[in-house]
Amino acid sequence: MDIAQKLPQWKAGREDGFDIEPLYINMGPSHPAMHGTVKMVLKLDGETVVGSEVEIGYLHRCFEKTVEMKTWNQVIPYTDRLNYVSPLINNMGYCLAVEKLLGVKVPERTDYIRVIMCELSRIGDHLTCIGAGAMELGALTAFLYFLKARESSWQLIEEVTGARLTISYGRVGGVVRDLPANFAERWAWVRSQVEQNMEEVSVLLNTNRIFLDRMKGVGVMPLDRVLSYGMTGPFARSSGFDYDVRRDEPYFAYDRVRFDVPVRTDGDNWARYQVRMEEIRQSVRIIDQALAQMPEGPVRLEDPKVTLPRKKEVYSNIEALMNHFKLLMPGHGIRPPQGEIYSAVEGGNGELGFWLVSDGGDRPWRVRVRPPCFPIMSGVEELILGEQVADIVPIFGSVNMIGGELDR
Amino acid sequence: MSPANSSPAFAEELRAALGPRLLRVESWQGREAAVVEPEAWLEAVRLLKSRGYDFLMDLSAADYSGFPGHQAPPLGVSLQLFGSGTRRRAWLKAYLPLEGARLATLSDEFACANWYERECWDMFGVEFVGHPHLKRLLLYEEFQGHPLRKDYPILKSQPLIPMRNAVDYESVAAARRAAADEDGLGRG
Amino acid sequence: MPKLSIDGREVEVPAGTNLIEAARLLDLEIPHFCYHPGLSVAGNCRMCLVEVEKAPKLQIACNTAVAEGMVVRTDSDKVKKARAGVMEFLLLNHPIDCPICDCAGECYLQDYYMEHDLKASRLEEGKNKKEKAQPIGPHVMLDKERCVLCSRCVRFTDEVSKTHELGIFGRGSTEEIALAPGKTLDNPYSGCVVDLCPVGALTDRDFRFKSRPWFLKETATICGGCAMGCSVVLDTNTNPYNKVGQDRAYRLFPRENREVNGWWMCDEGRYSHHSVDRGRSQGPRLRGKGVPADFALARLAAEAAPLVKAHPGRAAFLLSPRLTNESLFAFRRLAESLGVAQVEFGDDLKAEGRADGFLIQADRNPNSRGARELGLGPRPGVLGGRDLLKAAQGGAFDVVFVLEHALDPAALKALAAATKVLAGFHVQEPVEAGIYTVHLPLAHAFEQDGTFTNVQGRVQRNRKALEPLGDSLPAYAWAQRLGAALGVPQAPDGPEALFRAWTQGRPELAGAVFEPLAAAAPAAA
Repeated sequence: MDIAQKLPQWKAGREDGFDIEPLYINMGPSHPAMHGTVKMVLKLDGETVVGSEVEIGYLHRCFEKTVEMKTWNQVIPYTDRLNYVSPLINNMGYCLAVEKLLGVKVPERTDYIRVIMCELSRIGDHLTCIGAGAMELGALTAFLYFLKARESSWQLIEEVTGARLTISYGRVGGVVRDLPANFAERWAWVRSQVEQNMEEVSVLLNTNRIFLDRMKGVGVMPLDRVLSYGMTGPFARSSGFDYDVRRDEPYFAYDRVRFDVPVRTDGDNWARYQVRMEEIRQSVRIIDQALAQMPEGPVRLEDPKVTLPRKKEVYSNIEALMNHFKLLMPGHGIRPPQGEIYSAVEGGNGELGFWLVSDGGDRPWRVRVRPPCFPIMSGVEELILGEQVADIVPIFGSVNMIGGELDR
Repeated sequence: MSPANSSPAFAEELRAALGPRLLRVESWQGREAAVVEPEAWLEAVRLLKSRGYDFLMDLSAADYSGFPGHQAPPLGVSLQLFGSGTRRRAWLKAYLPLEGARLATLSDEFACANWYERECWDMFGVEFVGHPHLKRLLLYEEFQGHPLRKDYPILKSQPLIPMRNAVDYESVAAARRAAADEDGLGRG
Repeated sequence: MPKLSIDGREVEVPAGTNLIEAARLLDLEIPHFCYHPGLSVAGNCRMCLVEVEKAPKLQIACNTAVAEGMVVRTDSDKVKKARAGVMEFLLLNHPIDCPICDCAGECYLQDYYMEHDLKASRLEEGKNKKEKAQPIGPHVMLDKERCVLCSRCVRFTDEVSKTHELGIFGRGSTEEIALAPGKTLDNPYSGCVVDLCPVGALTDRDFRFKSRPWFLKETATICGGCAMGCSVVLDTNTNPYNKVGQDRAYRLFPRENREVNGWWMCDEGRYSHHSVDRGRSQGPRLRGKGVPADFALARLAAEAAPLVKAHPGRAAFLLSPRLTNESLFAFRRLAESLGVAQVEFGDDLKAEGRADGFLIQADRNPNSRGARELGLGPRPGVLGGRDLLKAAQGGAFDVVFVLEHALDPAALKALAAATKVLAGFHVQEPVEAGIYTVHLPLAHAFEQDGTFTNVQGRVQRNRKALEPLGDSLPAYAWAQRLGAALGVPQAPDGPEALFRAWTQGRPELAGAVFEPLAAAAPAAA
């Protein structure tokens, strides 16, 4: 789409007849606002963007090729590095896809744990996005407050999984270990931090004239363009596309918890800000319900063909040792039957899809990640057309592009 | 996806419209993929779009060379469609040969197909006929080969790119401006 | 032939076949430990229990002969329970050795546990301790704790090697395999018990701790130790990331071939894989100095070509019964184009030993019969090996090509003194490589594709498992280069084309194809 199509009233040139040329500016890839490295070549008429080319791929690390050489479980650390702001969602999304290929169902407690951890990650993702977006507009305080909230959620994640970012908590057939015994109290503390910080930041931003002027009416994406671009997630929901994988095609325990999916119709930065803020509150609600409903039980599928036996057993009897051995031997272990599956979960940015192809062996034949921010990024050229250069920063901030996910 | 959202009806509609050009329907775990002839790709997509599958969820490919029991040509292009109103999914596939892998572009039907197809070209070498500018998306232009193909030599390094500033920058910039299209962005 | 049904599938087999073999025809593997087609039936492991209709108890498949109309089920709950029960008993006292056991990855217990058991251990007591890591012979290590007492090794030493070295001693849970008093396991086929042992009780001392089996690539090929040409599998590992040291060939073990070697091979052949990596001639030598191949061939061309051209009668090829048919044929063709008539495979110089009446042949070369049938044996007008050497030492020949013969050093020196050009081609670097004018390295048999004709007249396919080491090449490749150097360019035929060429005009080999070549032309002895 070019500028004339988007803004019919725009015309090139100046009224006083000065002969002008457009200014080509390079924004990125090494730029404070170009999160996760992306390059935008901008064609400017004064301050207005009349054309752009977005170049991605600066964080391409050959995920899809590398994992063809790893066993199904060994892929999980690589999935951490996809959307590295909400790594647990990637872990669990991938594990879900493999479990579908295998045709197994994880224990109920695992489903709830996965819901809790995914929502914790989602909270972290949204906090980062809004916080960083606000910081780039000058609202450093909001950023620091949100980072404090994010820090508390990451501390909780660390207490459960042992890591903050490179987590690898999921396994095919469950999760690595159960939640710690004091999880409920710790969650209560995190919850209070998040709620308090959200309250503080809302006070700072919601009626802030500068913030409103820079967000309202800026970066509008109409619904028909959202659909044509295949966008999902908070970005699409802020333009009116009411679709959330958790509610509409539920997985894990999402069909057993009640939550609202915030939708706005304005499609501008302000709507995206509101949708994400509301999603944080909904995530908190989901975690509360999941904690209350969670049954006792195993957290890994008790299937000796999928799950490694407990170490205590492995070191003390030959049966478990042979089981462990054969599961880890190259050519053995988890071997989903030949087939393909496309399985989607709701990532921080929208539908995170995994297309897995299995040839019956212990390594995947093909792992395709459908990154939720990919279609959104493909629409950025159109999104910033006609906007001012300065507006690119909040617009791009509200896109929440995660380089690891976009480029893989 | 839960089987409730898989829509076998889409395969039937394709069969009615395309006849023998719908080659077969592959099915795993309750979800079905309709395999069409590459020449019927655009027609099948337009038909599905008219039946409510108006949302392109994913377009990608896989190289089935050496896949046990695979009879069709090796490069499989896979399209996940979604109905924004109906909330139903359709899965379309076409198999192409490694040499001369060509498929009609969907960039006129869906705006995001532009980038999905560029990535397919980049990684697999599938040429989308009619694409506005089919150039590499994730990798740099001078990259040789299509890495997600199974015959890509992973134990070899790419040839080093010549240093850009070894060339007179002004003349390069002038050449790019001269080669620019009307939009002036040098998308040659 | 009786027709029976196994798991609902019909199969017709000759009378007297047991159920394990009948099921194999349906690609169904009934688990078993003690049964082996090459040994008598023991029926002591009870793992092959299957349900036979009309029989009140489960029957062992290894000792149940097929009957017309028999209905067999191998997947019923009773059978599954029986298998799990047998496994539980076997695993009660089995040591927790997988990380240090060589058999891991090829172990029947591991495989059957995953397929047929997957139950947790119910053992609360400790396990019985027995002697571990006991070398019972020069090639075999015994670990008594791992033994499942299938008695395959005992039956082997009783029935096949007939040396009666092993026996089962003791009762109950102290039962163990042990050497008969005063004996050690040192018969010429001792390595076969390692192939037989379904677990890691008997392991190969030569292969001990060298590699895990899943890193090894298997190639079906032919042993070159003697004229028997036993069918073997060569295990190799060339991946720099998962091997340690320089070795590429790790072990040889026999393949089933009921017409040639049954299921067995001798120890000498079994450990001949070391010759692939040790002591190899890797680079061409010009009077002892290492030179590039082009240079060596150019010197050969300069020195030998005019001599051969002028007096082909004063040139000689001493070929070898260790070369493949394709290499022999390539050299025969080369000699014909040069007009050299003295081409013989050194029949009376070849390595010989004592036949043992079982597998080991007196002729310790893989392809004597092949060479003879290619017309390269002793014949009128052509000097035999010894006569050739004598004549050459007397000055009758200017140019002699020696391929793969371990010649006596003194004879070699005399030969070198009496000839103008002495070219040598060997797989192993000869000690006196400097004596040769030009010495060129030959690829080992396991590094080339080709065929050998064994003592039975069976043409068997030798498969390439590794790339030739260093600059070595198969003999036929050297023949082509020699031809170019000597001014008689040869067709650049690979082994398949050479095979087609030499099998032409051989009616008994009509219809034989190179790939896959299952033994062609069974013996017209």
